Amino acid sequence: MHRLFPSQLDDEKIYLVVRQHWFYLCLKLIMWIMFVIALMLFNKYAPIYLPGLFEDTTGIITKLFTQVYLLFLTLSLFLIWLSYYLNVQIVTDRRIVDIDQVGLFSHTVSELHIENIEDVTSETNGIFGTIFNYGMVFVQTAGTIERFEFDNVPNPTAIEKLILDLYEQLPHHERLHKG
Amino acid sequence: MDSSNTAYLLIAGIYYIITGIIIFFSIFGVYILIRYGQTRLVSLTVSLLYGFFFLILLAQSFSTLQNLK
Repeated sequence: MHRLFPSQLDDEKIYLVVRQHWFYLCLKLIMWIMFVIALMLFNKYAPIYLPGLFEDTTGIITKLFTQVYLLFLTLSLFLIWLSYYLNVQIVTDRRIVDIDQVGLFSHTVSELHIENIEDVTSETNGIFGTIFNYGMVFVQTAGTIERFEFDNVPNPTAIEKLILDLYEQLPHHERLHKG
Repeated sequence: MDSSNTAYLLIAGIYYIITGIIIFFSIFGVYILIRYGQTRLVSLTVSLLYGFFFLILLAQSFSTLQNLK
C-alpha cells in the first residue's frame, strides 16, 4: 500500500488532500512567464538593435548564455511545481496532517489527532480570496500555543465543516471537551 | 577560439560552475519528488519529463560550448 504520509495506518480513511489554491500557483507561473517573455524579446529585438552580440565568437557566447538561461528557467519551473505539489494538508478520520516542503532542504510533517481539537476557524480575506474562494483554516489544539494552519486553501469553509464533522463523529468519551 | 585561450577557459569555467549548480538542484529536486511525492505515477512522469527536456537543453548548451573552441 502506498502511503500519503509516513505514519498512515492501513485502515485509515483519507477524507481530504488539499494543496494551496491554484491562484497562488498561477501567480508564481506569471512571474516565471515574465522571464520567458524577457528571453523571447531578447531573441527578437537584440539581433536588430544589438547586432554585434550575434557575430562570430560573441554570437556563440550569446547563444551559450541564452541556453544556460533556458536551463535555469526549466529548473525554476520544476521547483515551482515541486513546491506546490509537496506542500499538502491531509484530513483523515483520525488526524490532520500538514506536510511542508520549504525549498529543497526543509521537509516538515506535523500531525494533529482529531480528538485534540479545541476550535476550528476559517478565514477568507481580500478581493481575490473572496472571488476565488480561498483562505486560511486555523485549528486550535489543547495544550499547544501554536495553531495548526492551512494556508490559502480552496474552500476553507467546507474544510472547517469537514473537520468539525469528523470531531462530532468521534465517540463521546474520546473527545477532549465532553460538552 | 583556442582552448588554451584564457577567455575560453574563463567562459568554460563559469559555464561548468553554473550548470554544475543547476544539475545539483535538478538531481536533488527529482530525489525529493520521488522520496516525498504522494503519487508514484505523478512523481515518475514529472521526473522523466523534466529529465528529458533538461538533458536536451544541457546537451545543446554543451555543444555550443564546444563550438567556442
